[in-house]
Amino acid sequence: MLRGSSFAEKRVIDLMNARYVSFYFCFRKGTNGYDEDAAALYNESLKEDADFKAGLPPVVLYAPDGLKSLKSIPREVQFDKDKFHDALRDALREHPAYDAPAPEEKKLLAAAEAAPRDAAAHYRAGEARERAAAPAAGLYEKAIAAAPESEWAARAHLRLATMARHARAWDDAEKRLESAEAVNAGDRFNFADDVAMERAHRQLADQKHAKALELLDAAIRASPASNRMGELRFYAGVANFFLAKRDWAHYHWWWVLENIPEDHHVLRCSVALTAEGNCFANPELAGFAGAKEMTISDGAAARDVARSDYDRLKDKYAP
Amino acid sequence: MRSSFLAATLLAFAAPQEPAGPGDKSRIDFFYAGRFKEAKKRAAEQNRMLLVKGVSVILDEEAARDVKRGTC
Repeated sequence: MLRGSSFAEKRVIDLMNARYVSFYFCFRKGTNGYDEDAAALYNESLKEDADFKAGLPPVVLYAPDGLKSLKSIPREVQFDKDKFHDALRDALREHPAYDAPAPEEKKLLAAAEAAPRDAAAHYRAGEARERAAAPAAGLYEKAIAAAPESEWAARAHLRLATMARHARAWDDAEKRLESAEAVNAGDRFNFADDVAMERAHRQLADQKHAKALELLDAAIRASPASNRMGELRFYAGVANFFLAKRDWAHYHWWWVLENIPEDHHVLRCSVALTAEGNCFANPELAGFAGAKEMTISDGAAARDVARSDYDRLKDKYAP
Repeated sequence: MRSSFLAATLLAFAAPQEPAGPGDKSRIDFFYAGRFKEAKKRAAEQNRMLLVKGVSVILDEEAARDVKRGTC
């Protein structure tokens, strides 16, 4: 479930790559993916942990020497992508010695510092800070001030909209999207798909699934090469799921598996399309769990249904 | 962002660069089983916290493939 929720989230991916060294393994001896060295540390530090005993252990953050456990992130936080991101961010603030910018990030910050009127330098520095969950808004604001009608400014507005969305500051997010659109007249910078996805997030949060689907369908059709296609398709599936159009949800989720198998939403789609046979509450589907127990054959059966729906509907989704 | 090879080439140094679509191949740079010592060494070299996630069984195909490949 973790790989389908938090580990599939772009800003979690960015933060882990920017500030952590991450290790993933199976802690049970004799199983695929077991690592004796890791188990000696991890299993020992969790031997009294109830979730570990139940087979759903926390994420543990260790000091760089790998000896001292600094923080444990329990499963109820792990499965919520926003809480998980914030827990990782907070751990960095609690341990600033391990939160220093990487060399490339330092270069970008220095370049912005050296060129106060360079919109590009400030945008790039802002991106680097945002990836590390560090303050970035001021750098984006400077990018906008330096060249208010440029693509840098338009994209800085977009980034600020996304940051506002993460803070659930929906009105601020909408104002930023309007500012981005004002600079992007005629979609000259090709980011109508980003704007649609951001607006759809608000509709989904408000459980206005039909309106969200309308935005997502239009963006999928208008921007077939969108780098956010996995996200557009995943949430089109979510909207259909809550509109009781499960076959169309399956269609969108399987489309991702079939057409962009390396997109970071693949696992999220894969977990969602077996939701009916899954006993774990899916955080991406408002905690939906379709079964009291789960077997491998139930999961395989659910995948077969999804595949069949995809095959039946794929030629009916007009481009 | 819609990708356009020509536009991307012409604007390579003049405009923000987004990953080419469709989709986004962003991945966590995990170290997998068999490489824990290497992960510890990397964390020490970079002075980064070592994030460890253990699972009781590796069910999904992608994780199994990643573990087998041992990539990070």
